[in-house]
Amino acid sequence: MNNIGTDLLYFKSKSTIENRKLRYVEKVLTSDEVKFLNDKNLNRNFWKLWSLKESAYKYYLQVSDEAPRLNPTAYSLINWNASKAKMKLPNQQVIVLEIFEDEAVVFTCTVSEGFQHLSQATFPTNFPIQKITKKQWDKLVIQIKKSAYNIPYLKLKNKNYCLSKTHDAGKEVISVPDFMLLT
Amino acid sequence: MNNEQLIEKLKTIVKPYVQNEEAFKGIDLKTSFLKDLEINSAHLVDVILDIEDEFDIRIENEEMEKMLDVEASLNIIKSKIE
Repeated sequence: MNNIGTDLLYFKSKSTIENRKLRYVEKVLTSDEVKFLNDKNLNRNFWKLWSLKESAYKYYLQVSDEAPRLNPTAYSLINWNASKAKMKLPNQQVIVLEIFEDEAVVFTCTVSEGFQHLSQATFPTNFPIQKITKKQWDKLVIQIKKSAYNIPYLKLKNKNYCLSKTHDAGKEVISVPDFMLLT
Repeated sequence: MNNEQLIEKLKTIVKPYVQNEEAFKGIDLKTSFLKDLEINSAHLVDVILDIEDEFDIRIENEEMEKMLDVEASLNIIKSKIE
């Protein structure tokens, strides 16, 4: 079964690091990760890193079948550039994630060959997110189930398939296997 | 401080971050912050920091990772303040 983790984040929907308690950063980032924040883009980089951790977390819950935990420092950034990041998971597995961003929003996902990203909302043209109709969306959503750990999945013809859901600022993206036909 | 008093304090802390008001009204020991109250994970870290301030305690990362529902949170808080 292929696995996927995604995260959508609008920078304006998040309060600034300066407005949060100083200890917030140390609860979320490892000491090595702090060096990836630079003064010029402190908030943007922090929330981009948070988004990567969220995507990695969703992916890890699928592959490990472990109960969810609030442990953001267990997902650590190794390196990143404008379009990709490499992260280490709690089981020491290293994964690659993709980053799509513009001024307002970032979408991160674990490398997602075999998946399509779907939304009713419109995203920047460089984002790999396909716009679908409300009818298609409703038909998709009705097929989504949740595991005992509250992890969404699809059950088609008695077989389970991983998917990822993410939302922010009233917009939602669902990533499903690309063999799913939307009519 | 008994469980009821602790839950009341916890309710005050989580209230600003709750997205499911119905679940909040019926909050009990089994209530999950993520699944039931629909607090997003970024705000869950805020909840942990607010708990530290309210009870004047320090929650280590290994303890924080278990604090996903009311009961687990109360157990950790009680172990720190007793």
